[in-house]
Amino acid sequence: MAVTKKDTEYAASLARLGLSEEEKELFTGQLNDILGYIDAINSVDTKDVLPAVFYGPGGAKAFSTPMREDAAVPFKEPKKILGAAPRLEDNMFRVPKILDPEE
Amino acid sequence: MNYETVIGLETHAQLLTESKMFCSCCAKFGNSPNSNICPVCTGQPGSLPVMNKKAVELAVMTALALNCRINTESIFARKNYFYPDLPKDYQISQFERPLAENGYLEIEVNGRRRKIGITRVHLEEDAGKLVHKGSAGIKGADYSLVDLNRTGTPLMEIVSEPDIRSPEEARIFMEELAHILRYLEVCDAKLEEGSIRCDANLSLRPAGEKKLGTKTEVKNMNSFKAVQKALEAEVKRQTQMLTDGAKITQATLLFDEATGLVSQMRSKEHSHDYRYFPDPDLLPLKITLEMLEKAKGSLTELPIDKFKRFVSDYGLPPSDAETLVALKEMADFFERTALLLSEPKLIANWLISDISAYLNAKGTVISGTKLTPELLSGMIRLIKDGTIGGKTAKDIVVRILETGKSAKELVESSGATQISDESALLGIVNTVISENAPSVEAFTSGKDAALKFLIGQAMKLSKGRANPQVLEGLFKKQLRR
Amino acid sequence: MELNTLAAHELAEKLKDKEISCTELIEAVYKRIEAVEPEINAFNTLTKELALKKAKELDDSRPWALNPGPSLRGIPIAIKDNMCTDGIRTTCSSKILENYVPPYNATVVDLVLEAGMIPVGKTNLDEFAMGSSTENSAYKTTKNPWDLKKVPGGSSGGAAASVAADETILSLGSDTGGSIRQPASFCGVTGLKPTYGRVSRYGLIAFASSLDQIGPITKDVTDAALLMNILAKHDPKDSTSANIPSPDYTKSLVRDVKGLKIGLPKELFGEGIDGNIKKSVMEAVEIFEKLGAKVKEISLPSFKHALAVYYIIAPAEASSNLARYDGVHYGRRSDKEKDLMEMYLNTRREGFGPEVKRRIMIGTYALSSGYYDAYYLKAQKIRTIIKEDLEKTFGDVDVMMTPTTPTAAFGIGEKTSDPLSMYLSDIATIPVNLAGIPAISVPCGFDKGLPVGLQIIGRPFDEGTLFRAAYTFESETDFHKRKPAL
Repeated sequence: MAVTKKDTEYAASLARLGLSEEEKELFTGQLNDILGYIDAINSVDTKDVLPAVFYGPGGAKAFSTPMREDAAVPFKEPKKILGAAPRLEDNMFRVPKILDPEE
Repeated sequence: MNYETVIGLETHAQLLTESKMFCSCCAKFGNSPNSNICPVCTGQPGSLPVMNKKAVELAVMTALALNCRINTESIFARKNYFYPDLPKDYQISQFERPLAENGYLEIEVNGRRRKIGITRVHLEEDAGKLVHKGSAGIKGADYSLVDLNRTGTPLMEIVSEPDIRSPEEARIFMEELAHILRYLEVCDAKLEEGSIRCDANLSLRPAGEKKLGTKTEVKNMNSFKAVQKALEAEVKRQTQMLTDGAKITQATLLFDEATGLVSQMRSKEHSHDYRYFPDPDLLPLKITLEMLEKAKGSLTELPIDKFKRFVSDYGLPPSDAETLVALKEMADFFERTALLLSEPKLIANWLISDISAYLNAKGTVISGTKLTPELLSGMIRLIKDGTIGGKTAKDIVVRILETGKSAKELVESSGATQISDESALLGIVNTVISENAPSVEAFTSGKDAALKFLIGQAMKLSKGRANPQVLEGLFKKQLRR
Repeated sequence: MELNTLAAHELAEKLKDKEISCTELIEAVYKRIEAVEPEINAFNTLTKELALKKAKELDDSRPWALNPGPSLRGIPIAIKDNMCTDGIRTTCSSKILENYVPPYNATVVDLVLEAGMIPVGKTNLDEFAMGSSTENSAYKTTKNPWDLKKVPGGSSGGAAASVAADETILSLGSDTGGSIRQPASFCGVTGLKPTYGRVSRYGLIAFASSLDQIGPITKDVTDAALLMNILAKHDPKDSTSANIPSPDYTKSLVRDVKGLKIGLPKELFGEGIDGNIKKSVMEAVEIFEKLGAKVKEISLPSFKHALAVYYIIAPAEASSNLARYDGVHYGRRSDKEKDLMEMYLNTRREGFGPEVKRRIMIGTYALSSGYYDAYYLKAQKIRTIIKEDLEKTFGDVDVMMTPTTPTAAFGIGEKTSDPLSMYLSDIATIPVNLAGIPAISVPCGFDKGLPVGLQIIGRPFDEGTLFRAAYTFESETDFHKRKPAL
């Protein structure tokens, strides 16, 4: 399947990657090369094959889902997490105005 | 043209767990922003999720109560989108194989019982909270602040089939669903507080048409009444458009409580490409036979079944049964008391009138008072055997609620026992007779009203404790009438 | 002999017997670092003060109450800069995390600290572990100690180079498609990728979650076994962590390969593998045969598609794992931020290098609506086929052997303009990650002065057999003892 510049732009917007015109051209070309190589997988017969799922050492038949007991154990240093924030106000992470709300 | 309304509801319920869905932060949170966070729920690089067992149990119980088929293996998937209240920029949710599917919820609308299909029940994590600065809401704000305290709280999503046929039905469905969730102690289910959230999909189609019309999404309904009002507004809006010959376009609309209208959210015509894929950091969720048995065992009787049983087994009038069943705690209290004393109607009366009045006035629930089934049954026994009169009992019940002392104790200490013993009252009767010759005269000459006056005097002398019926008998005997 | 040139198990006795002190050892290591780092560029961050402090504490607490056998207490270790270290800058060699200070330790970091090891610094890598040469680092290019014009391999280039250059005694690397084994091979050291789930990923900054594993990069097999004893623990904070006990890997350090059934997958010995490489590897295989192992050629046709499958699954998972780098909660934020969307676009444009962007794009594309079935789902199905093929093969053989890489270390700048050719160099290592099985690379020869690596692949959770085979080979050769002339 050929990748067009529109495809590149679509993927870039989904991934929130700002690309320059040059980068769009370059990536479109490179994506085409890479996906051209990858497209060989179309020839593999995967009828009745299930996608790989990780079950752990027990395998599908003998696995159990790792779970936590429901007990509140607070993290001792939330300040360290806030300390890594690029922009903080009133102890909250500040972001520029949101034009496209996601209610 | 007659249009049929088709509504589907999507409900998100915050689960009553101690900790968050994928980390051990407290799920009930304090007030100061970003105090209830850890590397996992803030999506720090390298952090990994681990499932909360209780959240799974609560969801399984809910799914069973909603008559769903539980998938013994379900998959957590990543829902990928960018938003500041979602630190990983993906939400761990369930997509292709959810926890449970194909159930139903029975509701009663205008005397008719209807089954509303439940498409799926699944688990996911909640996002954080945004505070907008520079304007009241997000529109026109200068910037926003993010509080991640709520991020990672366990959410259960319940999706109904588009089986709902009116805004009123939608309200009833939500009320019934909330009722069940509270009964199961799975969720507080308060729309106003946000512990439960509801979004609706609504479309119209010509009556008799099988194909679904274009649906719109309605959000921001913050009370049960609002659910009905919002959907009525949307039905009106769509009907008007269709009547005018316009086409309905897919949109997301927000309900405005103040105006009672729905309006379009800013620029949201495009649908998201969430790129769902199974989360490689989690194993499939296996529901074992043990878990199912445990859930079935914990499954409490649902309100509708309890109501039926109260009417049939205890002979309660439906309105009383409904009132008792509205709060599980009240219903349980009723039954425990009824086990101690076989007087269901009396017990129900006390609970529904005086006790409920007290609870409402104080803004509390039975477990917040000192009243127990033993104390209530004890008091009713004393009323039945005449030791206390109805009026006294009204005061006594309040004092029991507050002090936890038994009726017997309270009556003895305050001397408020109703005196029914004839020999004890004879003295008072004779005193009244000797001090009220004119009334005695009036009564013996046939004026029955005078008896009331004499009884009143005797009540005064006995400080309200005399049993008026016994007094009446004594006066009659003494004055030979 | 300079202390920093010794292996951990050689130093262990000396430390325990107080023949040397931890402080002396740390000082020797830093002396070497100061001498060769300007050329090698293996480290992003050095933690000398902390290391000296820890060394003094350990020295003051002697005599140590230790179990018999060599211990890694007091041994200096370098940590790849994609593992979180509480309070110490962790960058993934990316601009977007240039000043990120994690609020917690990765589980493996806690484990090595508990064992008394002394971290000396964070090593350079390809940005977010995406690459095979460490040239994708946003900060610096690490050089191969054997030839400063060659790459050290990647993505754990700094970890491997620092061991090869004796700038550390051992190091922790991570492997998603070969990132421990390939640099170990290029730098003439030993590197193990454990079975998926054997070592906790908690605190390993994720690249491709279903493929990533942390493992040891060491001067010899004994050190790798010692370090694995510390690392191979179940971690309840990692849902993919195996909840089965791990053996004492030092018990596998025996010289015995009699009857060991070795399979040589012909698909990994074909054209594309350099003649000299093949020669060294076949000579290595002969040594095994001489010692009583049984060798046969096997075929794994599904391996043909392993590269394509990897280059869908890994970028797909990466595109999701790297979404979080958006300038909101941590990391670098662009100052071009008139609104949220602009902030996102610019932060990520400025913060990520081209290889990372490329992989995010491929991954996003492969997961997007309309392409999911043809790419991601299809790749996962072929992955099942690869796993099943390998399971069948391990019914007939105990281990497989291949060259770790098709060529020796290539020149810096040689492959940077052709991403696809860079990807092709991982052909022997990638199938191992897809199947989640363990593999070790040990030095087995030289090609024009550059190290050649032998890869030994094993059954799930059978690191023991890998150690036994590798140890036996090592005891018959001295490739692991050679040092670059720095």
